[in-house]
Amino acid sequence: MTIPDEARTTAPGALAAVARTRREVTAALDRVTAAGTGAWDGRAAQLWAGRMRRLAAEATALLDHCLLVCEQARSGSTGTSTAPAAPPRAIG
Amino acid sequence: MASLGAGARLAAVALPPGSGAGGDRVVFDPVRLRPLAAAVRAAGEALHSGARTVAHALAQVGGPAGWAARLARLGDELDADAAMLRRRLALAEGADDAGRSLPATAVVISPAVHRAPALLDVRPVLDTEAISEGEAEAEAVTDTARAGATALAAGRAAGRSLLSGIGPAGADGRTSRPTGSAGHPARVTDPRAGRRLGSPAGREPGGRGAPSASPQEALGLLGSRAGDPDFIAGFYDALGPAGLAQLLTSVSGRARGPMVNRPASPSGVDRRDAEGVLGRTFAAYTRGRSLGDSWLGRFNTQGRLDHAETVLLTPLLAVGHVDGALLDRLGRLAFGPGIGPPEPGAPPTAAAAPRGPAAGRAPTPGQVAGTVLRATADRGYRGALLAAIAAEPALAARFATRYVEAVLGGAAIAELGLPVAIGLDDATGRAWAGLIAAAGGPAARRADPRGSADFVARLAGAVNAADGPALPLHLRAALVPALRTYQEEMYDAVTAVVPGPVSPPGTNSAAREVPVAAWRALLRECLRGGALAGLLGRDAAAYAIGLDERVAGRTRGWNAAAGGYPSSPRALGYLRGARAQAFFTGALGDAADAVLREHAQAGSAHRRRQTVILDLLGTVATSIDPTDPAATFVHLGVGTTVDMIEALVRERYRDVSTARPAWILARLREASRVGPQWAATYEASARQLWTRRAGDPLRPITVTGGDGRRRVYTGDPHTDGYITGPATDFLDAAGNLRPAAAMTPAQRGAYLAWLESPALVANNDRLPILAGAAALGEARIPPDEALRPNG
Repeated sequence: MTIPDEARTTAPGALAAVARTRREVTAALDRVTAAGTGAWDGRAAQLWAGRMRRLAAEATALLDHCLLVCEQARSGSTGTSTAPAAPPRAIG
Repeated sequence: MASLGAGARLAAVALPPGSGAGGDRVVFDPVRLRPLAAAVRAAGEALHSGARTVAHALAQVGGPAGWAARLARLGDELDADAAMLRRRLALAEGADDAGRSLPATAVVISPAVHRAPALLDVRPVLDTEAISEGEAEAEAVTDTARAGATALAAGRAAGRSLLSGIGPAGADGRTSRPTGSAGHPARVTDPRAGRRLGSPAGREPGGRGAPSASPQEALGLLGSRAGDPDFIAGFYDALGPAGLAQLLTSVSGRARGPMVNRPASPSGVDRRDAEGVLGRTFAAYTRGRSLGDSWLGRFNTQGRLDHAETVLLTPLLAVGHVDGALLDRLGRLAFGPGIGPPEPGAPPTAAAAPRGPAAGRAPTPGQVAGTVLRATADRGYRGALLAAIAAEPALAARFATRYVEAVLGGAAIAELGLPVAIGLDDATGRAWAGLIAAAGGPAARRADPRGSADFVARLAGAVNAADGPALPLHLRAALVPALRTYQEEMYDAVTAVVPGPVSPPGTNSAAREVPVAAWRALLRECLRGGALAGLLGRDAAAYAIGLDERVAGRTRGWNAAAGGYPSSPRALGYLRGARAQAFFTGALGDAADAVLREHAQAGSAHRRRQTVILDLLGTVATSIDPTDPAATFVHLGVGTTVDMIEALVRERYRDVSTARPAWILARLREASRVGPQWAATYEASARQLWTRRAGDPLRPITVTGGDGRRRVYTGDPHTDGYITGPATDFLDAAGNLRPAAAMTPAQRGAYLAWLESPALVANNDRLPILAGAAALGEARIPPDEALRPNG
């Protein structure tokens, strides 16, 4: 999971972190939808599925707002970009 | 989700009669619900983690602070949903255990998924806002809630019908209370609840008006509703722990209290049937409720708040799968807290996430006082409890870890109430052996990877520290599963070019840090029992064969192309395979030595047993050819069990000479010395190649990988990608190789990978000589002192 690195985060860093969070959350919610297919049935299951859809929409919308704020902050900032992650180790 | 219903595993089955639920049914597939619960839980964690990230990010750019809190709230909702789904699943599995006539993978849960007071210890899943979005939805929720409440009330009525003479604040008073939150289940606070059972008196105080019923009638009703979790929850809620204790006493025909020898009044129920029904339904109940110290403290027939007559649970433990957290709690009560780990008793549902919430809190001193003596005094209870724990893979390893040293060491065993030397006839000793076998088995590893690895590491360390303990045959045989489950880890450590813990990418297991000496001690002690020695020998041969095949597959054609290997690229793999075999034969020789010593010292009755074991070890030994794993694999049969050994001992009622097995094992010991020093020689040669690289550069090696791409290895660990940063830098400031013993596990992992890389293998001029010596059975190389301190 994403661990915030307080010492190094800047506006571009914040944007990258929020974008990564959005990807992770979206992927996790997608997995819920996929796993839910066929797992249970009945009216209560349908209600629950509807509620999950609303929850996912709310989370996505919130993270989109966060992204927008971070993008606006970056366009007005001159902060240096954070270093890319280290490449994976190659062990033969 | 709206178009569900066509799945092959789904089955729409009518509700149990009398639930009053109309046509509203919830049908689910347990096989698919499990990953759904895991996915919901993971999504909740992602939202919580995301909320922390967003809070930090927005603080950097001056964004609004409330958004992160909203994300966290959504995460809370998902957490609650995950808990609800897990509880549903647990109850369904309990219902499945109860043997209802349903298809194997389909379980019908009576309605009321949402707002079912019996099931949702967590806060309700649907909030008011969600319900108000559609009238139909709200109506459906009301229906389901009503149906669940009906089943719950029916269960409570059945439970109450068994009770009489309780006070106004008794079990009945709780029906009007809201359900507690997770970790704080609704509870009966009146210790007098259920003190008299089955008395013929009509009505309860409080005006609820439940007629009394005989235990036979009540248990019959409970049996007919054994698949209905709401009914079960209501039944046991109303009965309360004190009532359950009374009921179990009545069913078992025991008399409690000061005059314990007086005969109990006949309860009129068939004991076996009653214990079957109660065992299955109580197991389902424990999975739906968190039964803590408060509940256990009232589980007695004396009306006390601090006393658990856990021995009454004995017949129930054998019937159903009681919740792991409760088993853990009972185990601590019976055997004390044990030694570590620091975080006690994670519930089995948290096994996937190794550091789950500490739901199973250790009882504080003074709580449930006096229970330890009472519980440990009953051998039947101890055996049943240990067997139940052994049958719970997510708990077995974690639980057994705490008592490994105590079981192996004599003094602590005595404190536990176990005999110092566990005899073969002792039921508790066998139960402990069964638990240790289960804890080391593959099921425990799948259910709780971290707990399983910790267990095997502690086990190997304890056996090594005990220095040849006198263990019974059953306990020695119980070590076999751990050795077999972790054979890859063991032989990887044994055959590594450089000894010491490594941390290759993606693994962080305690089993990878077990020293070779501890593995050797564990294998030796296991072989001293004789049981399954052949099986363990096959494992060594199978490892060698698998390693050879992997190396051959990876290096196919490496010495054919121009610029490739000048010699066989498989030599190193071959040497490692031979080392695995030699390690096994060395341990076999150690075991035989120990048995021979015992044989010389022991009396004739004991000698008969040792002779049979020696004969078995000799038979295994003659099948082993350290230089030919494939032939060894063919020659070795499967293992001999403890029971077979005991039969052999009985049959051979005479002293048999140990001369032949001793001679065979002496030859084997000589053979096991084949090339054990190659690893140190190889490493020394590699170091020299690196030291001389300026004057005598390494020849670059071009190989074609499994993906078809050609790649050149220069021998430089930076260029070849083995050193990726300070964490994996095994060179010092001057560019020289650090001593292997001074490296960190990460550096050692990178160093090992570099030593086994094509450039180093192909340029190592000692390797062909070493391989040739091993193939010729060269025995003049002195033993590997680092691995075999005692020669």
